[in-house]
Amino acid sequence: MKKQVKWLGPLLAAAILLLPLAGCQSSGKRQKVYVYNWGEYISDSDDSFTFYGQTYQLSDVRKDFEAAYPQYQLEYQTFDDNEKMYAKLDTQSYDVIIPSEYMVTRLIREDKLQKLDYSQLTNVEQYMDPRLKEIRYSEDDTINQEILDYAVPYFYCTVGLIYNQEVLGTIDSTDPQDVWSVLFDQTYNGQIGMYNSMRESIGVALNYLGYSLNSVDADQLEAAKTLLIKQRKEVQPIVGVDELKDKYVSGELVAGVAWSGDHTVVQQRLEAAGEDPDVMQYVLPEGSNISVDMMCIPKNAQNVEGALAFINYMYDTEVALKNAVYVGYSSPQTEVLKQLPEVLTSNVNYYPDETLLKTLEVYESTDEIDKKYDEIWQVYLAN
Amino acid sequence: MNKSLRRLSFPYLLWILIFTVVPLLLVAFFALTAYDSNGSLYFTLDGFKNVFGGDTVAFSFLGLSVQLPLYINVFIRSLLIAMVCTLLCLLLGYPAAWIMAKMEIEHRRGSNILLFLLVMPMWMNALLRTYAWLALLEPKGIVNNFLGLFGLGPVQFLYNDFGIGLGMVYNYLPFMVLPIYSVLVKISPSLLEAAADLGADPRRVMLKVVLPMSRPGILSGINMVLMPAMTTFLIPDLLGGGRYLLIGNAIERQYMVSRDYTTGSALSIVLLIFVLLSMQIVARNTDPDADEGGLVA
Repeated sequence: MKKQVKWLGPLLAAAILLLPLAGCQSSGKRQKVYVYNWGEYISDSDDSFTFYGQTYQLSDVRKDFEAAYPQYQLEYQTFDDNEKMYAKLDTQSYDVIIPSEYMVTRLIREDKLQKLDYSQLTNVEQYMDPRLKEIRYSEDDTINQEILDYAVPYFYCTVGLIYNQEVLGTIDSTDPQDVWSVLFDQTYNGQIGMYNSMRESIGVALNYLGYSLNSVDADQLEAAKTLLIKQRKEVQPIVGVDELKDKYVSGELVAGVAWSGDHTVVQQRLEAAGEDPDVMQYVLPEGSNISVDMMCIPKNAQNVEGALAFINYMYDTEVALKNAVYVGYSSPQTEVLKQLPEVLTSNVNYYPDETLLKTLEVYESTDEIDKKYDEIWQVYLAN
Repeated sequence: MNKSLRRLSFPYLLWILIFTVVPLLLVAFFALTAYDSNGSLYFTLDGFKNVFGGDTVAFSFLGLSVQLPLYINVFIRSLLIAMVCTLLCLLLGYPAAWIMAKMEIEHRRGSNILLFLLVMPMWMNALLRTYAWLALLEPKGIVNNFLGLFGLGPVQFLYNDFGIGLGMVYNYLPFMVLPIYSVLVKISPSLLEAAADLGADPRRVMLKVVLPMSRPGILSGINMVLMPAMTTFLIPDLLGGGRYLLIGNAIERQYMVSRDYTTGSALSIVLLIFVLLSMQIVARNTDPDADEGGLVA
């Protein structure tokens, strides 16, 4: 009896794994387009949405895509981690994937992506924000020049300081030393929020100390490590990801590291609670992080035409606007910028101007960086 | 008869071979090998060097502070938390087991419902049960809301030793109660009556009769709580907010994040040896009792 039960698990798992394959073979009239994106990263509700005082009507753009392209059927899956997505690429073929820029760099290096046929990406050609060409996507010059041949920006976001203006006053400076200093101030013991992630934490420490986010210098890394351990002991930051947002809204936290998209959400929640959204401000220091999630087509894609149609559709003004309102991150589509609330698009912290943009860094991922940062993080965790 | 019975065990042996022995050998293999830059495999002891060497971290206990290698530090901390958790489980679990056993012995009923209540949460997945604690203990969770009614709190229950300890005690308590109960329930009431007749007060009966006779149960309970409590990574991950490094997390990190299979496997091997040794100690302590306590067996 017991033995039987033990076999049941693997059998069931095998059956479930084989299920999508069975679906593949019995292709009807509509071709499938397999899209693999971050969770909660596409407009999927029919609500109307108030965003900084303006009301937008949303819709499920995945259904809209199928309506606009009746020949395609969308198979939409989500991931919550670049690495997990990467691990699945070998066993399953996707037509469009939307990883972050460092993962795109890695995929290009490993020859796992195909070049995009821009003649079929008319919307992208027409509407892509020229700012996105200024970003330094990779330390590797060849890849940096080529990356847009392989990948189209979907959304981008920055890492800055979210802070309570009533408590801290307005922070005018964009000098990282001025901006981040509150995070290491013992006065705010237990009132500081930090993300539960390695690169964001070490990155902020390096940026505060005036070093590159991708430093591999032993002394600089040691200084960053010491600073973080000291912060953990003396400031006792509250750590999390999604739970932090509510703590900024409730006033429990006065400042913290935040992705620009999260700040928008905090302001919306404040507004929904009938409070002044401007209490929580966001400032992007020079030399901080920018990350870009990019749409690309893997080499083993089955339906390249469908993939290109999907990518192009995401740059349709109406669709991109719905996504931008729903997701809250910075949109790379120029027409969308004209239709979003001006308070948002004119904010250099969300849409950095060229000077600020040039100082921002992506998180590089090389074996050396990965190893060294991981060691620091391990020691930090053990303290 | 004997031969056909042995044949029946063959599928199980095969199962053990494929899913226990082979993976263990693989772990040992990983622990002693690494890939060089050309992608070819070579023998190395780096994994073990990393376990016992590397960065040092201050370890403070009872006011004392010493610098210890990273993983030794993590190891000792895991062991301490697991020991505290085991002790709490024993303190909570023994009376519970005794009450249940007494009901069974004296009334021959009633304990079933308690046993059922104890086991029922285990029908749910441990992940879900731990998530439930998150919802209860959050600063804006149910417990803090309740405390708020009396103007107390919010208390920070999560992401510290308390949260992890609570999660462990909750998750492992049944594993302490059940073995003790199963031993206690077999103690003949006549022995207790005899002790009472000979003039022992209830406290003496407990200390001199019940407790010694239940030793095998206590030891197997300790065994079943200490080991999983020491190696868990789920509970510290969730209730520790992902910033809490116990030995289970350290191994998981080596495999999933650092992708350093050599060090991860070496850590596993060291942990395994430690677990085997301590089980050996427990087993040695159990054996003589099994011989003496004819009634228990």
